[in-house]
Amino acid sequence: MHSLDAQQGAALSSLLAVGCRSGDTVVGLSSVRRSARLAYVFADSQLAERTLRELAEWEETGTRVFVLDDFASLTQTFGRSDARVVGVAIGSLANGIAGRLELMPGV
Amino acid sequence: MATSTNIRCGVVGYGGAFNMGQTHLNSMARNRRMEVAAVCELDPDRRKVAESDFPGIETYAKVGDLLKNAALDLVTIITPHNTHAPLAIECLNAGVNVVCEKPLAITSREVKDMIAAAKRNKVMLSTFHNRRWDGDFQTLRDLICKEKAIGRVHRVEAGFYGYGPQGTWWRSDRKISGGAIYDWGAHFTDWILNIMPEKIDWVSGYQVKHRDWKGYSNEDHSEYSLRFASGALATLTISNLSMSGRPRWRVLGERGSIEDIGGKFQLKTAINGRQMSAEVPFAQSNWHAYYENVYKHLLGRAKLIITPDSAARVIGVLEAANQSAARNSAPVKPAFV
Repeated sequence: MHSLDAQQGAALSSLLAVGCRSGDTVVGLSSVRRSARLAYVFADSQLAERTLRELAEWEETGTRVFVLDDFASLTQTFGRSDARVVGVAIGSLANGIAGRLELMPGV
Repeated sequence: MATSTNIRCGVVGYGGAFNMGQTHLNSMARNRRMEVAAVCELDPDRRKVAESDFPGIETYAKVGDLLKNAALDLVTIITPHNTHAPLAIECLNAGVNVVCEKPLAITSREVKDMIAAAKRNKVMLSTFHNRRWDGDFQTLRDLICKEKAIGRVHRVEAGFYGYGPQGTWWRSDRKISGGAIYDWGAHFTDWILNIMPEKIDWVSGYQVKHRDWKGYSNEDHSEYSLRFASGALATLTISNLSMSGRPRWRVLGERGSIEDIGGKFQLKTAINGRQMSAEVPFAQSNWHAYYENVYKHLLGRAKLIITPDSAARVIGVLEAANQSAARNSAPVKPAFV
C-alpha cells in the first residue's frame, strides 16, 4: 500500500467527485467490498488494522490501494466526510486517476 | 424585511397561460410562514379561478387597490414583459418586496429605474430565475466551477432549437415581449453568465424573420455572440427556424469539453496525456429552491441568490443583442458589464 498526503488527496478529489456523478466512484467500505473489480481503492489510515490488511490483499488482484492520514482531503469536493473508503471502477475515470497519479512524484 | 409574524404574499397576474399564478403561490405556500394572501387580475373569470384555487384569498382588479388593502410583504408580478417595470416600481414605491417573472424588464433603462426604486424604498427586488436550480444546469455549473473538470472555459455554445411558426399572442408580439430571445433566452443568458462570471466586452446579435410566417412580430431565429473581457466567447441560439438541432450545451475548456447528450453530460478531458471520458447524469431539479431562498432572505437568514444586479446583466445582454441585430450585427457593449 502506498501513502498519499493531503495535497495529493486534494488533487484527486475533483476527479472522484466527477466519478460520484457518473457512477465510477464507489463510496463506503461495504460498497467497495461489493464491487467486482476496482482499479483503485483509497482508505483512511485510521481504519482498523484488520480492514487495512484486507484492502492491502486486493493489490494481489491488480487493484492499487492507497492510504491517507487526511482522508477529508480526498472527500471534500463531493461532501462525503463520513466516508472512510473510496473505490474507483476500472474504466475511463480510472485512466484519468492514473494520469493524475503519474504527475505525483514518488507515487 | 418582513415585520409581521407571517410574510403575506400576493401575485399580480393570474392568467390562464401555463397557470403561472397558481405555480408561484403554491411554491410560496411550501414555506411555513409564507401566507398566500391576495391576487390581482383584470379578468373577472380568472379571479374566480384564483378564489377556487385558494379558498379565502383576497382578489382585486387593480394594483392600487391590492397595495392599499392587502397589506402585502411580497408581491410577484406575472404579467406581459413590457408591464414588469411600471408595475414593479408601483409596488416597490408602496414598500412591498417584489419578485418579477423573468425577464426582469425589457430595457436597461427600466432595470435601472427598478433597482433605484428598490434601493430608495429599502425593499427586495428579484427575478424568478428558478431555472438556476435546473438539474442539468446545476450539474454543468458544478463540473465547470466546483470540480473544474475542463479547466478554464474559452467557449460556450448553448441553444434551443425547433421549427414552426409562433402562435399569435402577446408572447410573439415584439413590442410586448421584447423579442423571441427574451423568453428562454433570459434563462439561458442567466445560466451562461453564471458559469462565466466575467466582465462582458461586447454582444453581437443576429436575427431572422421567416418571410411567409405572418401574424406576429417576434423574429423566428435569434442568436447572439457574447465576448468576455478574458477573450472567452459564448453563443446562444433561440430558434424556431432550425429543423436540425444541436446539443443544448457544448462547453470547451483548456483541459476538456462537456456536451449535453440528452439526460446526461459527456465529459471529456485529458490528464497527463491520458484520455478520460465520463457520462454524468443530470442532478434532480429543485424549482422550489427559489422561494425557499426568498423566504429565508426576507426573514434575514440568507443572502438573496437572484439579485437585481445579476438579473440586470441578463437584460443588458438581451438588449444589446437586439440593438446589434438591428445594426447588421455590429458589436454593442451592454449597459451592465
